[in-house]
Amino acid sequence: MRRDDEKLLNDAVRAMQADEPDAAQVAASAGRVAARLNIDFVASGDRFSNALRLTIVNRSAPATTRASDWQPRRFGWALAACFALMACALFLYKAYWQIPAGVRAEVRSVDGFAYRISNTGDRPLSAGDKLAEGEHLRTSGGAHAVLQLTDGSTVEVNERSDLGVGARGRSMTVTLDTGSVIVQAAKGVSGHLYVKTPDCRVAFTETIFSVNAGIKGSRVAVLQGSVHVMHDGVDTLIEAGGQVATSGNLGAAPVEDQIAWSHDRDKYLTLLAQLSAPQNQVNQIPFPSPGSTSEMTNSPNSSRIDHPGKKVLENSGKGESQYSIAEHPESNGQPENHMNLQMAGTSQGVAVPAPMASHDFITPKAAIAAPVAKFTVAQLEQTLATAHDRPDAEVARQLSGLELSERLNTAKLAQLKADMPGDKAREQLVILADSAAFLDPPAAEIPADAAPDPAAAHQMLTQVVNYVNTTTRQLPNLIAVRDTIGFEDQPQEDVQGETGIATTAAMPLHTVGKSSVSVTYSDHKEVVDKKAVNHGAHINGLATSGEFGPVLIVVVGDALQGKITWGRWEQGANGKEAVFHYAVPSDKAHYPVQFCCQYYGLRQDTLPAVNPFKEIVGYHGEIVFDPASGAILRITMESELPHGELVTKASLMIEYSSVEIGGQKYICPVRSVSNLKAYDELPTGMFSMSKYRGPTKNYLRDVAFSQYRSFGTESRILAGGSLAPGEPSGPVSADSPNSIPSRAVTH
Amino acid sequence: MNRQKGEPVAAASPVMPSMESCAILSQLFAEHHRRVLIAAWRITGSMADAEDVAQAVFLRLAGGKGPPIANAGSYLYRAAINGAIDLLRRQKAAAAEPLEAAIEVSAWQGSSPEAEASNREIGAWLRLAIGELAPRAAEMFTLRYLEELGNREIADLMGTSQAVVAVTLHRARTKLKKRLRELKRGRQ
Repeated sequence: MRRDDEKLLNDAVRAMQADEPDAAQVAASAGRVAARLNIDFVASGDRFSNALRLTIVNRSAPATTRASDWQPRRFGWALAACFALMACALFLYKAYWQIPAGVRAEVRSVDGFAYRISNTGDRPLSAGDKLAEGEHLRTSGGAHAVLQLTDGSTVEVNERSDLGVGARGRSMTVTLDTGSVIVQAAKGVSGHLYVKTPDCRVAFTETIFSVNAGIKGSRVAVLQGSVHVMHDGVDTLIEAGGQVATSGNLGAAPVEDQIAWSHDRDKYLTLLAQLSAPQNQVNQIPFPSPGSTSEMTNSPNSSRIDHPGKKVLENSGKGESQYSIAEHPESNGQPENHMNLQMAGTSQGVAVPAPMASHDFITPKAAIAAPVAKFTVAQLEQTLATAHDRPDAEVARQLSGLELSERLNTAKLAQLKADMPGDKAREQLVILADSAAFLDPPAAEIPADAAPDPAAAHQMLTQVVNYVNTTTRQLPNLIAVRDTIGFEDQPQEDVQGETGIATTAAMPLHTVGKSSVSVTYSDHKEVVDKKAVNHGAHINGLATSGEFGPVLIVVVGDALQGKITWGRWEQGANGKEAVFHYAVPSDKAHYPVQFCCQYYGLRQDTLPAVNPFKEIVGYHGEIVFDPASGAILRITMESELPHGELVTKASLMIEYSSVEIGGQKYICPVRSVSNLKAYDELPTGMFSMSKYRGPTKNYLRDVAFSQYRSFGTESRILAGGSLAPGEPSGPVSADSPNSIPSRAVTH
Repeated sequence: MNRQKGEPVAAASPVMPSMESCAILSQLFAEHHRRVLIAAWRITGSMADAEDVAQAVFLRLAGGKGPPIANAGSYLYRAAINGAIDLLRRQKAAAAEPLEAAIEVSAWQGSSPEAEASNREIGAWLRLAIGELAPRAAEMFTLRYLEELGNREIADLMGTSQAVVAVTLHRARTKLKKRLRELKRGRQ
């Protein structure tokens, strides 16, 4: 089969290679393209050498053959109108669009590396260099630069920023493609000054303000004076102390944080201190969800750090929400401490990791790299209360900027999905819920009941083991439909390209495919409909299997060899559920993590030598079960992969529920979430799997099982020809629930 | 500029070059049109599509969006390949066969009508499959196997390492083989 596939590909490549047009076709096509481009050329074929000789003729030059056709009198009036129009156009052009000669800005200082990106190539910039029209300045990580525009305004540029300066007539425009700047406008400038980002334009005179542009949108904060922000056709006036974001995904961020990277931050802080505008700050927040934090880019190691207990924002008008930030008491003064964001008047706080010890401001790098807003389930429900009245795309955009701090259970997920205005919002909600599938449930779903004593816990564990031993034998031959949605993200990558640093834009998790296949469980084996898979009804990459039984046997068997501890009680859909925590060391584990492929050098024929990544590693997770029957209702597995390997994370969660098959109730898988993170590409010169670095790609699969029905011939011999009281009258599996348990797992 | 990397090349553009850039454009067109047209033809399999791609990449160059003239050759070459791949991707859903395909059938130089038809068919399958690859992988595959550049040349051209090229090509080949097998089974 592999040889056939190889031959087929080689044949196809040869077929495409052989597919080359002859010289006459190329010449004819070249002529047509040249005509469309408004340039002329004459292609003459040399019949002896078959070589093309092209003669280039510029249409702008006078052509003698056309001169005789020129009859100006016939077009006299038209010409006059044309001249009038041209005069008007020339006036308007000079007034508003003429590009003045000369430089646009001068580099006053550079810390780190900054580059000039221009048509003549990329060159490092240093103090005193000048930027011309059409040239861009790009700062690398950790760099900082200050520009002075020709009108005297200064632009302070943060790391990883890309901007250009252009002039039209008397107006100057700083085009900020990405990154952060702080602009101090010169006084007494006659023309207009603008900062333009991909989604808004800021008009200003004699003011100081910061602009932050990223893939999620732009944020403008004013330190002195006022600016006009034009976004989506709406002109908004922002006064000093205020800020505005162009996207609902960008939550509020204190102005202090937005200018924390500046070398002049002390001066700006003094300006801010003179402003008494807390009410104004609250009013400017476009995403008014209590307790949320949101920044421009994703990073797990960032949060705002302030003096303990310092009040950041206060809604003094209504007094219902108060935000404060304080150090976590257990980690006071530690470099890797945790900060607890507490909210008076709300039920829960959100703990976020902090990268450094307590002081006024975080480093520039950490200020830029911050997480999306973390929400509790209650906050999410509150935010989505009016979702069905809003446009689908708007709700989807809002959800894409969120991250849950606790698990959203399946019942609530279904309820919220039903209220979503459309498919985009539903998809984002599923991503949100699946990403949180391995977190603890909300506090409201954890009963305060006492933990069972050791004897009761042992009894429950025995029930779980008995359940696993019997459950796979109880299942009848069945068919179910496995619906899978695949989500993947795209990490941002910077590579040195032919014309400079090329950046692949980061994309958050998004749908990459959907599939729906029949899964047959027959004779205790799980079989996927291969015909459907071969016809494309599957998603490449991450896939799961074994939900009907093998996974339970492996996990519970391994857990018994490892360590099992009591976890907690949980409030499930049908009553109280018990949770065991377990941990399995790698030498006792039987859970392989597989991924294609790892690279270990070049073969002699220069083709890559690759092997599928397959490693049995330790793992841990939870076993959630019905304390009365021992029936497993949810199981999670989170692998413990060593640092630096190709795969950095592999997790699986399966939920089981009661389904009816042939008139009988069985506990079957209804939903699973699998998540894998792996390095997408190798860094330069890396030949060992222990040296993987850089961004990782996130693979997420959401699987739902439905349409359970019995499969194959099923019969049961009944003694006496009558049913016992209470027995179901429908077809019953030959594998009776009362059959003798197997010894797949022993305790 | 770098910011345009990976940006789809439009099949047609209303922006025409200014007079002063005509001379430069004419010179570049004379030097590179053949390479651009043939690279685009190989990928799209259609002369009309190749013309659209060529028009778009020369227009971009004329519009000041390209690199300096010294690098124009490799820029145009890569832009043509990327533009053609992008066109393939956008056309993959289109079921209708263009008229020029019927004309090109007669121009096919093969050993026998059956072999020619078979070659055309598997060539079309491969085009479809390339259009389904990620842009970067599609470009690497095209450079390696259709333009027959070495891994080192591709790495230099795309600003990456040979290791990345090798792994990407391996993955691309695996995906293409699988897709070709599916398409072959679909025909059977």
